[in-house]
Amino acid sequence: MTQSIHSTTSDELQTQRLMELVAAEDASNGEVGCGVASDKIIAYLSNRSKNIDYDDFRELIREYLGHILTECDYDKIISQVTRYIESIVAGVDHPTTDINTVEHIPTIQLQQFLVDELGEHLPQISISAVTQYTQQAIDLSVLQPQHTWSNPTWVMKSNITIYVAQAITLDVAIAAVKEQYPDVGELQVVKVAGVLAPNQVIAVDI
Amino acid sequence: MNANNYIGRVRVYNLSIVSNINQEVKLLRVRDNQIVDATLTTVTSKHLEDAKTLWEPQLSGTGKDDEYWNWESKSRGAKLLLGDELYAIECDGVTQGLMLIDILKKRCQIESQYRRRLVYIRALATAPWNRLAINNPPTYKGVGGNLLDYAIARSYELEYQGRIGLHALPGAIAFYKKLRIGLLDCGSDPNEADNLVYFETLRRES
Repeated sequence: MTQSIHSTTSDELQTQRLMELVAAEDASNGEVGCGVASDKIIAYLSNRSKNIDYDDFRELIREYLGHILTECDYDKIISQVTRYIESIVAGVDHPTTDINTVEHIPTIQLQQFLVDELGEHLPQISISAVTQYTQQAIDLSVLQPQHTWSNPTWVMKSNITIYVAQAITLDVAIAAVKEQYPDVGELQVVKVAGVLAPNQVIAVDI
Repeated sequence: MNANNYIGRVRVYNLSIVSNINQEVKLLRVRDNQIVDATLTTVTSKHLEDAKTLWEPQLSGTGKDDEYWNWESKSRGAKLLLGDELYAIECDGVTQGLMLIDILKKRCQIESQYRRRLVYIRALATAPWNRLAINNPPTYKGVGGNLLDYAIARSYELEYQGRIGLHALPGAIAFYKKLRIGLLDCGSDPNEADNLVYFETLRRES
């Protein structure tokens, strides 16, 4: 038996890859953009020192809520609060915060922290808004800490069938499908939900 | 000798010089269906000027998500923020696409690789004349895909295992789904103001 050895040149690989990229581009009529649409953050960037110190804030949350929340929750709260501060600094309209929430961190403590971090840059009214927003963000996390979320939901497909499985990782999800459907063949993962938020709805194109 | 390598389907660039890249890529010129050479390069003031003087007038009034993007502002922001890098593709002496990536500040969201480093694509756009909805037929195809491949290559360079993350603009979701680079659709992100769909490269455990 003879075996032909085909050496693919870099040019051929580039051309082949280009054709794949073009096919993908055609699927979206040439639309390839990504990124958050707003440039208002740039106004913030010129004042970027006006925000809280992540580590200090993390420490404060941990001090009061370390027994309930985990690092994932801290990340989410910090991300939400810093984005809220950015929006205030950038002069972007931000949601009003007039809902009463539980004080998981005593407001006096939280407000003092924010005054120390932002007092030079923001008026008292803005710091009060950040304080209230922070309490809300914390409250939402406490009501549904990430470790209590259901496992992510993985959507996979074979040639003709779509499989949906809940599992901590994709490998575990695939193993579960194969255990229950031994003849499944090769699976391709299409989507995952429950990674960014609990109770995410999955939309699957048909 | 070609100093580049391929991992999977994506070309991996040498690590040594990243601040001033000048790399040949291929695009498809639609009018005569010819593959032409283009250059992927670090952004210069000429590219930003093109975006302002050539892109903006053609984007004006189109209602595209990036209609009001200001690449000069993005560039100013990139200079302020550690880890932000800006790249362009130039062909025929004109800027065909721009991309802003963050190599330091964003981390993975998917549980099995949570908080591992990734290259986050903060913004990516192709010139308006390369989009079917604005210019039919478009001038070049493959711009966005080449930029994306470079982001993956940069991720490998940084030893992030090729992981990237991005928030796709609504019109471009089909593009990211079709790319065959392991980008997983994680659904719309409730933590982003525009609820854009978040994609992240998932690397299997085994």
